[in-house]
Amino acid sequence: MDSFSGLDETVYDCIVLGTGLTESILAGALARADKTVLHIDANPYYGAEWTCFNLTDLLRWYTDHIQAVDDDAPYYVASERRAYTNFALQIGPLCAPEQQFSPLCTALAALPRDFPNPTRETGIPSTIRDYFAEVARLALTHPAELQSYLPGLGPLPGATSFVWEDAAKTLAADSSSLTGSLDLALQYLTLATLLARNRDFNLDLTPRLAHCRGDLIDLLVSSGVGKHLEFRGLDRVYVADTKARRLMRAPNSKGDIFTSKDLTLIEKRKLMQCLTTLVDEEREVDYLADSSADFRTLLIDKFKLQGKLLDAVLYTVAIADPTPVGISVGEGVARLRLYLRSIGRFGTMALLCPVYGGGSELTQAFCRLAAVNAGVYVLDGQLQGVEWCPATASQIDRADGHRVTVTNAAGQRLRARHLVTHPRYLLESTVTSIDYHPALDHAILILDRPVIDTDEACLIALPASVSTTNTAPVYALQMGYNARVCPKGTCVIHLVGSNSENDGQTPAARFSSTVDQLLHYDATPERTAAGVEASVVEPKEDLAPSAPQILMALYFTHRSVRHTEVRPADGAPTGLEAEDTPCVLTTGGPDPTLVFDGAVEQARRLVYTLYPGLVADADQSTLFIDPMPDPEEME
Amino acid sequence: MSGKSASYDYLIKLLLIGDSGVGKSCLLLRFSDDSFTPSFITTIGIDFKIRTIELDGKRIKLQIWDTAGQERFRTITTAYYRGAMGILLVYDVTDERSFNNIHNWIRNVEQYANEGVNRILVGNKCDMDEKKVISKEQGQALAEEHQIRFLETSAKSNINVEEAFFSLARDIKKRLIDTDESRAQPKSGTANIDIGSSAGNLANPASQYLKQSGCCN
Repeated sequence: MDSFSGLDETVYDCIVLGTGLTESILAGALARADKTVLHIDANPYYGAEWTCFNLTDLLRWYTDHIQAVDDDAPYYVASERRAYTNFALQIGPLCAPEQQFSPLCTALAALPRDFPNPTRETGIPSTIRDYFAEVARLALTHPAELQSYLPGLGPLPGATSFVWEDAAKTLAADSSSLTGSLDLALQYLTLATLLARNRDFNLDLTPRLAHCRGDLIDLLVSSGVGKHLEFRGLDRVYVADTKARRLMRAPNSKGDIFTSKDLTLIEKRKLMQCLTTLVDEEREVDYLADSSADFRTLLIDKFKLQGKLLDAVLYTVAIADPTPVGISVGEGVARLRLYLRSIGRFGTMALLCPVYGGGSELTQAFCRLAAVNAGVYVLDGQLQGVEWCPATASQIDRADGHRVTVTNAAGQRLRARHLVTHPRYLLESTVTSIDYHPALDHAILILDRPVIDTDEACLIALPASVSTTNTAPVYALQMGYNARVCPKGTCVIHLVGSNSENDGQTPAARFSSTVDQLLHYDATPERTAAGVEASVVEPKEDLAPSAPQILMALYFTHRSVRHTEVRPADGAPTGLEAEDTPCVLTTGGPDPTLVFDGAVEQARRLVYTLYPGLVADADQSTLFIDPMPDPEEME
Repeated sequence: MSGKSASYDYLIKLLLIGDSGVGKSCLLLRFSDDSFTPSFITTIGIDFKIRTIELDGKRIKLQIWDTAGQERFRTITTAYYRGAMGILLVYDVTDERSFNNIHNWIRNVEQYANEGVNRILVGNKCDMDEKKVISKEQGQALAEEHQIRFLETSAKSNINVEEAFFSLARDIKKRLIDTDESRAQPKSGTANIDIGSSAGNLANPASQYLKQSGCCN
């Protein structure tokens, strides 16, 4: 496919490689300011590390990543593959995570891309257990279709009172290709069930949230890009109270603290004192002077916080990173203030959760802004390499002013004045140094019901003490149908935790006790007489029937790039002249926070480096994108 | 400018889909602004256009989205399809390839658009008789194959442009009333947060923590 036809006729102001969030914001900002932009991603989809997948595309991505990279694959494929490791896939509630599911992978490879939902019927059953019956019915009415989706899946028995274990047994007995394995039959059945609603899944590779007054939302509002994006308010932020095996709600307001039945009077006073002191920007306090000190230590030493109080401030209000390192006083206080300041902007919540999966929608919104302003888009764009000429402007000898050439697979040379690229697109020989964010373990769990009984998004902080296998907190982000990430009746939980390197543990092992704990918190919120939801969620007494079951779980470790130094081109002086704009700038991947703002800040810095005038205000603290004229007002 | 919310009974989001150069933007500009520019430049600067029409005594506000040139290399964002109620699938009657590609565009629509979205097939540039390579019958047959409406249009000569948008809008209105979608979909809990319109500035409760300490007694 001559997907690049005509693209080599222009010298672009900027070629952007990769459609991650940073690159997309930058492309939108530049194009809106009338810079010519060519934006290329080697993947056939938008979003890069920020993308979100439906179920088949996620499983395809997984299948790709557990296989060895072909020798003849382009260099940037190998570098992308290295970013993701430690995969484990679990399908069906009764199965342990395995490294590989060869029969499933074979079946998946046979699936068409963008596998459609097999029915167009409305009315999705409210629980997945009902849904198994629906699948059986479907299998009876569309046996050929279901079989073609999953080769080897035999005919399902028909009964109105369908019991899925029985069906699986029948399957196992009937189908020669399943060779009598009940486990495998169960897996196929579960997978078939989920695939039947394939398109209803929007599973994020980098699940993140946004503070209502954070940089991302400010940018979306000021630029107008947010007009066509949808968010859900994330009202429920919990921290697990390890001792009491309860979930305690974040103290979003004085009222929350005041009415809490969970806290003693002394605890309420301590918590109030801590929050009122730290939120007060006017107050000069000597212990805030050392902003690089450890925030946790400050909370313990100065505010005498411990146990659940300490956890509540650290992990709900300040949302400390899920890494063992912790956060500094400066960062902690800034986050605490941002959280509290965010409450009330759009409602009672401090955080927003994007609908349809975050990174993917956001990157596409900024890419569309770029496209509307003449940015040119190429996905699935295969490249040979990137070269650039000496960095100082005085050495540009080309009449058209281009300093960067990106050569595509067809040998066409795409020219630009600047290149902003994700480091995966750089040849190793052109990189002098590269460093990484702390690696994060990630689990995507699809459950048959939510842990917190709601279709709304919830954030649950699980301090390290909750688990026997963790040395750092794990965040569980529960999302449901209201955020349009899964079919009604099911629930997606993203677990994000630190990968403490060198301990040899896989994410599946590390998260195991956390998952176990999490699934057994009581899902029924209590109602007080006033109809207000109690702040406490009790652990379940009776585990078996009511605990959510894992229908599918995918575990992996992600290591994203923090910073890359590129080697100047041959003959160029090392180190750039101060007055010259470098012609090659690199981006980094998602940082280990729970929010999107790092990508916004990174885009701002890059835009400022390229075109200082585009970052409007005096202290260059805000990225400005001129809003598009509003057609509503031009009518 | 009239009051926004009070001035219409239905808001309908429409999309234009089809190969580059078939005249999607021209159809849009003809319909929204009654203007025509014979230009071969790929669309820039148009996000969407608005026109409010009247159907059976109801005011229907049409919000019509253009592809922003992202059809050129088939990089239309999946987000483009979100919430679309009607889609105009456009080909150029003088360009066989654009006609053959309609199959691909229909596949895209089926993958990414809402189930039940109304569609209409539009063969544009029907004024160019001497260059025409796709007959009306071929267009009709394709439309029947997919059980959708069909019209030949000319944005340049202003033929059938109104009809195309109106008949799509009429189908959607019928569907909305017949199935009563707005009521059939139970609102579970609260609505989505629209950060665009409610650029929100409720009282800032961070200061709540400041007003008085020692509240717990």
